[in-house]
Amino acid sequence: MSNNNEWDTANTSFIGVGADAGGDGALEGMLNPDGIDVTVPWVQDPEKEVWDEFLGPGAPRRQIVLLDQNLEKRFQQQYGGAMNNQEKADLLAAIQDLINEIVVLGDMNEDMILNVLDIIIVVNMALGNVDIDLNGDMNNDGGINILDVVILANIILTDE
Amino acid sequence: MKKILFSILSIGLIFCLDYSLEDVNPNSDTFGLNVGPSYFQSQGKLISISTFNNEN
Repeated sequence: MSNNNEWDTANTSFIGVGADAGGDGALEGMLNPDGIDVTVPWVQDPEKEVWDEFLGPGAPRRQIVLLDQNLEKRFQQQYGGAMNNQEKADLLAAIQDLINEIVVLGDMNEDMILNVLDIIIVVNMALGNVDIDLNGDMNNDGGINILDVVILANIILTDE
Repeated sequence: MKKILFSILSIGLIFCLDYSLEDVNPNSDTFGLNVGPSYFQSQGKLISISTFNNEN
């Protein structure tokens, strides 16, 4: 359970979900293999409710599930004791695809930053100078107007 | 550091998966906290990887 700097940890969380099987010794072994501390979060689901919800009832262990920004399952893969190169490549590609899909409300120029450049675009939309992009609809009322400009500006000002 | 506002489409909530369980890894930054995909989304990590395995 190590990233090894192979994926974008700024945009991606990694959580281990165990079944509370094997007792404390087994957990210790999972969290400290070969004397090296694993630092990712590890939770336990002894009733396998989360397992069943994510994987399906009675699903085999050793599976990875990716959720997108809408908490929808987009990737699921069963793997053996250690991932082979193809399995790892498939996982990394799936992660990057989801990161590439990330939409930030108000990020009109898609630079992953909210700043005055985005405000300018929303203002122009409100004035009718450019086509509407509902990613600037900050209050989700179906249109772009001064209210959206104010909301976006407040977000930017309070985050500085 | 700037925070980024995220919008979860309402229709996505119908199919969304999530959990909130206690982090039992003492080496983790969130040890003792209830964590899950949405917890880390609130911190800017929109994509989540959950790995399911028995402790052994």
